[in-house]
Amino acid sequence: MSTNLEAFQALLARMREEFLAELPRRCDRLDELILTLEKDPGNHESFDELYRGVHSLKGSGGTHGLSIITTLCHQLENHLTETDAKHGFGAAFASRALAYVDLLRQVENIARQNNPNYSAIEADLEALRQEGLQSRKTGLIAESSPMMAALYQQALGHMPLKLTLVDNGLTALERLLHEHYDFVIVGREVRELNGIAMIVALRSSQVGNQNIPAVLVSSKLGSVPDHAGFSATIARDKNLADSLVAAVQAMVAV
Amino acid sequence: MTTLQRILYVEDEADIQAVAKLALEMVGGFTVKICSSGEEAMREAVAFAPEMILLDVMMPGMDGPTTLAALRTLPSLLTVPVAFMTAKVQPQEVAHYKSLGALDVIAKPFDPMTLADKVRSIWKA
Repeated sequence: MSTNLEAFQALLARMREEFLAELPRRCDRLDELILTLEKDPGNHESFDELYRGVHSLKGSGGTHGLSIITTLCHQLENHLTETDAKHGFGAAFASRALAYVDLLRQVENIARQNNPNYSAIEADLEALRQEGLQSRKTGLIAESSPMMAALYQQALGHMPLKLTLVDNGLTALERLLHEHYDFVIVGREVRELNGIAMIVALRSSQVGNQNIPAVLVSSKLGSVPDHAGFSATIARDKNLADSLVAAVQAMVAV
Repeated sequence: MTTLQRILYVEDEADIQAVAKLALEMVGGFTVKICSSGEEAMREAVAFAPEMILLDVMMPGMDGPTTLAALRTLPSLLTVPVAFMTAKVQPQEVAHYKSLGALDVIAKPFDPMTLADKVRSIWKA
């Protein structure tokens, strides 16, 4: 190996060591920002600094050959992105974000070992990822029109939701009777069983989803029976996407 | 064909700037100028007269694509080859960056040992 390459590798190793030595200070700052956001969810400056800090660590970690930092920060970035300032910040948000930062701190010592073994961090990371998936609200969409279904999914795509799409009313009712959902969105005209009949049937059942909030999307807003108990009825007009987002935000915030 | 010598690298992260500069200068033998933002690149690029430009995509203020569009308004930089550097390297993302006028995309994080060769091969293409 040429002297130049050896010198280059020595410099890279020194820069990596400096990065690791600085990691605790950067983690301290992330902790401070997370705690600030827990107390003051609308603090956009703190959120922006937190996001930039995590993104910066992601890039720098990868550049120094610490792919575990890239993976970890990528997951934390997703957690931040999925968190909505209107209802996402709070103790649960902070607790998970702080758990990610704790894992980041552990990287420093392990990375200095001869054969770094990150398996414990990776296992904790996977557990945090699963926890995040489980904490997502789940919604069922019953809509026979592929175009409308795509519109719903696009409108709600930025929210931390797990959505299931069904194009048949009977299938939708069957799933509502057997699987847990936090809310349901139905079109008025759905194949096999229309949206209103589906929700009336659900309300008369004795299952766990019996009283979950439901939204009806329809071009005809009149003549919806009260006993169907819709949380909202939304017109199929130019404001549909905004109305749907507002209705779902209200439902998942309950 | 002339050889590539002068590279302008626009990147806001200090760590990545340092590693890339070392890699391009020590391994590749290039002369590298670092700018920390698109705005700084607009001020410095013409005087530096780069033969190749590397642009980070995600930067505060002017991002990579905006910087590219701005640099292309400067007559002396109209045809200078540009590559984006980004972690977003799905085929449709690469196609998008090429449609903006980039010659290619370098995946981040990059390998410091092979970065110079990668840049040289893009420039020769």
